[in-house]
Amino acid sequence: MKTINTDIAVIGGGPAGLAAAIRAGELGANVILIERDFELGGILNQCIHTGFGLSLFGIELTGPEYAERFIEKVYTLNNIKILLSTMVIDIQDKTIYGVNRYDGPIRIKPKAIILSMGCRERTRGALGIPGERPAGIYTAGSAQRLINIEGLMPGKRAVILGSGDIGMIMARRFVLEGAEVLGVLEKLPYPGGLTRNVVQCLEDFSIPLYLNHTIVEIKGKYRVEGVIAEDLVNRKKFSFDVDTILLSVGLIPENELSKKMGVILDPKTGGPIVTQDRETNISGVFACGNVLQVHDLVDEVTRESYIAAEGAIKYITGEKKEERTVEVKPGANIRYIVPQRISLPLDKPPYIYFRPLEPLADCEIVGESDGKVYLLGRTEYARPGEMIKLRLKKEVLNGSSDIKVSLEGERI
Amino acid sequence: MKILTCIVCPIGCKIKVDENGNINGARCDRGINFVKRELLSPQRILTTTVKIEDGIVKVLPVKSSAPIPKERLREVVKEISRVSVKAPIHIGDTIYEMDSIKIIATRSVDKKNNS
Repeated sequence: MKTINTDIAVIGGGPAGLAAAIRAGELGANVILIERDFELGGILNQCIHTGFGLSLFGIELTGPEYAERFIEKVYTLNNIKILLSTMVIDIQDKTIYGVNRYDGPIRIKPKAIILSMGCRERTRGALGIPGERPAGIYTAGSAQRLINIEGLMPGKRAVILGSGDIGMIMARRFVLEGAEVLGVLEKLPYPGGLTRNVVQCLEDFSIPLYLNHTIVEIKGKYRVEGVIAEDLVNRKKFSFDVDTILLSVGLIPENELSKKMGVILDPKTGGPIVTQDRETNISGVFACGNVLQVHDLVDEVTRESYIAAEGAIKYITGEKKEERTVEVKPGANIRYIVPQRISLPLDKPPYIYFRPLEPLADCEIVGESDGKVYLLGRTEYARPGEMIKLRLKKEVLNGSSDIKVSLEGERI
Repeated sequence: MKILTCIVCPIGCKIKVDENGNINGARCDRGINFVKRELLSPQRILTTTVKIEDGIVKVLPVKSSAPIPKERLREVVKEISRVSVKAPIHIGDTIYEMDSIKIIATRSVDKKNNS
């Protein structure tokens, strides 16, 4: 078996892997970037809509444009070796086993590993909707791939279950491609995705958003012939005459490889438990992007991946110093926090990323350590669909106990 | 009074405009400009795909080089659905022009290697 030695191996060539490889390469490491598709860019290649790069570049790019900036850069760095069409099948004792049709099975022995495998969509199986198994039920992302990459139209009359960003974006895409979208159904009382997508994808095209609604039955044996929806407030049922159902019901970090190699996951994020350097419980193994926590914005994926790459560099050059760690725990109104651990000492307090459990207004973000309470920041709004980023205060880290972060605000 | 949700960036400010034209609630100037434009003549960037021959992918993602009036989106997308281009294409290449609207490629597509 062919064996390659390197400083850092990056698994996955989407936005996270690209950014991690570039930053590690710029800092002088030899890098191997492994991608299972025939080209780099990951899911960005099918996200042809705009909205990427505003916070990082100050301009609004489409997904492919955002990707191409990084793809061009990664090919200019001679110390980055790119393996395309290569599937990683196992990682044991920090040795990566992969396979492709050029080399057959290969073995990669890096000093550090960066996991950037992204996430996948939750499917019908996770929802338990009764009915037959007809054609015409797609996850929003697979419909997006069919239309934007393969040039195929999955249906003519659709209803969308779940108001995640991809669901709303696909509603608009269907309409622009000449299909009808009868509605977007959301079981919660508020939309799952960004507010701007409610406006520019649904309101702009007069697509109704049914909050507090779900699908209770799928009709049709060979092809979808309709769905029965239910208003969860007054329990009224009604039907939609559709041939297609798109599901936008959440994303799951793709951590099969991580689990197999012994990385411990946070049940709340579905991603590894990491320190502020994005280092997992296995020393020298880092994670970034949607494999770590499902992000709203690719700009934050890029930033997080730079952090992971810098962490990996510190690790291989022996600059990493860890005397002790404290845990950062979600308190009231907070679903999860990343990083889950903070490794001390540190020069600068790190940023934490978190999501509220429900929409809140006029919020105070409060940290608690050693029984003392600190005001960490304020935010006008907090919505589960929008990740909050906040720099921790040094005082909170001086204590000896774990840190609890809570959100106090008015329910909206 | 009218309340508009700003779509310039993901924050999505709720911006209030009263009868006298006073604008409140925008976190930045881009939001103020958005509201002014949105009330007079709402515009959007159009993104879609066109056919591409001999490329490593089957369709080419494109966008309008500037925002176009919202009510023209469907008409423009219909018009460019007839367009077909040949690989290789470089990102930013002009694919089609109609009236004052320019449609440009949003990715590079290499020619398919038939060997």
